[in-house]
Amino acid sequence: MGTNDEWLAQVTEDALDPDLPICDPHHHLWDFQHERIEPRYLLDEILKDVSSGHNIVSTVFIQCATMFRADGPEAMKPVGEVEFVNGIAAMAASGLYGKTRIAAGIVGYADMMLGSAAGDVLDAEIAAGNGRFKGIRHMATWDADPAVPNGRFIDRGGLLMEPAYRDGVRELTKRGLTFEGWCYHPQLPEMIDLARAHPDQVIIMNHLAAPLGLGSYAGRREEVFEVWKDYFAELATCPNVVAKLGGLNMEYLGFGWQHRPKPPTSDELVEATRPYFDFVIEKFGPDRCMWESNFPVDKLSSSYNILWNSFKKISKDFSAGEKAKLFHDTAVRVYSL
Amino acid sequence: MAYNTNWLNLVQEKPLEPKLPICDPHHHLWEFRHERVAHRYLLEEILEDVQGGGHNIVSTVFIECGAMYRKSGPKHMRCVGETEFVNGVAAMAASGLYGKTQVAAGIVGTADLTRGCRAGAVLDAQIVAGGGPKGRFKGIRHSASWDADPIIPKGRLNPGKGLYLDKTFREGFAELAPRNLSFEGWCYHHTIPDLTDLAKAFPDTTIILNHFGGPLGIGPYEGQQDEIFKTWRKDITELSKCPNVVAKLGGLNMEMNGFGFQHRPLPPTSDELVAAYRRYFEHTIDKFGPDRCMFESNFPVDMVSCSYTVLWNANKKMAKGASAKEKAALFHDTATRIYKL
Repeated sequence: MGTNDEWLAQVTEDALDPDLPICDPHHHLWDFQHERIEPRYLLDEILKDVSSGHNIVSTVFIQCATMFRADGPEAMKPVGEVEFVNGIAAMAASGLYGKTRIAAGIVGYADMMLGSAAGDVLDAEIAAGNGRFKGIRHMATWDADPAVPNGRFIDRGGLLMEPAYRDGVRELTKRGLTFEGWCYHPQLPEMIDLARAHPDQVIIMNHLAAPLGLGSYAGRREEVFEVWKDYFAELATCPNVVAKLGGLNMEYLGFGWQHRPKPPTSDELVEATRPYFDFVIEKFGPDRCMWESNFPVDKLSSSYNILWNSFKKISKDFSAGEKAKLFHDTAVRVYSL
Repeated sequence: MAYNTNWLNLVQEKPLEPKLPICDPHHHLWEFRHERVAHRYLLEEILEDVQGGGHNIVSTVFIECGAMYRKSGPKHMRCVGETEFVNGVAAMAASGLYGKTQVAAGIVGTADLTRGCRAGAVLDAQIVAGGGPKGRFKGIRHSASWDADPIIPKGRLNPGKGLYLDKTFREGFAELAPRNLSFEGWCYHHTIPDLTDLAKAFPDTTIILNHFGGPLGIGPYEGQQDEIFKTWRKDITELSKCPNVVAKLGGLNMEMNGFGFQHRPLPPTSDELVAAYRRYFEHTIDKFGPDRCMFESNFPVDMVSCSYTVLWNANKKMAKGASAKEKAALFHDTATRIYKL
């Protein structure tokens, strides 16, 4: 039981369009992350979510610094995460746990600041993933405001601009691996610069770059929205960038759902988040967009079932072909599942 | 929670010599094995035994059990899913988040050696899935356990009689040595001479005898344990003359061994296990020597008759007269040397 299951259970909905095949291209698996709403999120736990009503046919695991090796060279410790997830993926691929191919794709971590030496780590991760390893994420999330939490291991801004980091990104490109772009909205110009400097590198923008609503950004949602829109429109001009649609339920945005007596309905989520999603889909198009759950992080604010209901409501007016892309095909293509 | 946990709890012992480092070189991991005493035996469950049981288990070796085979893809490659799965569990243990025991530091999978030289491709895929040539994948088991009597369980691939003598099987077997992989010999007592023949034909392949070569004690073999022991004794002596063979000491708790502890109102104490099994252990250690012997748990299969704590207490009582160096070999060093842990 996650720590907020009782709270979430106050609002339940039937799954909309329950047969629509979905690839959930962004979730985590971990144990002992006590700072999170679900300290343990392993196969048993994710199966409960993906079996809760929507038709999740496959998923992509995204790094979360879990199960790093306790021993061995520092640079190689993240390979343990890939081994761990590949084991879970093998369990799911046995068919014993139902039809969902959990972690059909694996995105790990390699320290891009290693520069060209990151190549050895990537090769080890490719081997450990045995066909499932697709790319890496090295977060750049940082903000000068101390009220905004920085990403794990991130002690400064400007990471995306550093030459060593970009040398690391080149190692990805050489190997045909993907790069998850994860920064806050004020850092988007750096992401755009990176995307332009590396036109052959597939960049998957995470969580809409989290338009911030915390600390000095609190109470400035409209103003932030305008800035964010300008940046995102610019980012969309880079053909090598695709966008994940989700992750808006985290604390950074300041919606504060988690502080209410009851969790939001999918209608409430739609009302709050629609302007962001509509804008991104308009600029990137369904071929370059994929809905994501960002679970269990986003479980902070809503159940898996209600979250996907909100996505389906936002996508209501798209054609069947466009829906297929938004919920499945773009993810499968980008991650070569 | 196993089906028999309450029953097992009726006999509890304190772990003897709780600091002695142990490598448990033979256990399984699986889920949904409803015919077994523990239908789920994954990381959490084995941790309850290796860390909750009070003995100092520093590392373990997983032995194939048909778990998590791929649901799709070429049939002969489906067993690679088992290695991927176990390598994942091993990575969790290697993170240090779950305590010091390196669960599945070694992985023994399977490959159908009756595919002849084509088995090599499966072995290569297994090595990759276990993390490459210096990784966790150590070898395979391809069981020859077979008996004409239907009451005796047959190996997973229903090997029929004489698998270890089969020409095509041996073509597959020849793929092991060039890859530096070991072979688990698993058969019933009447087939030990076949294993000896195999060992002589492949002096460069390390063969690890499983479970004393499975002395049977049910069906047609019920009540004949003394007679069978005499033949078994001779066959083990012969096998021990092959320097490429080492022996695992354990695995006598199974139904087919016929000791029947699981049918009693109370589970056995370690003293009772020692009394029942001693002659098998003593003869094997006598012939192979501690440098070629390793105690094993065969869990959760052997959990049908006793707890992990009681089992290792029995093993420690068996080794009571051994020197510190011999004990180190029996409980740890032989296993880590043979499996290159």
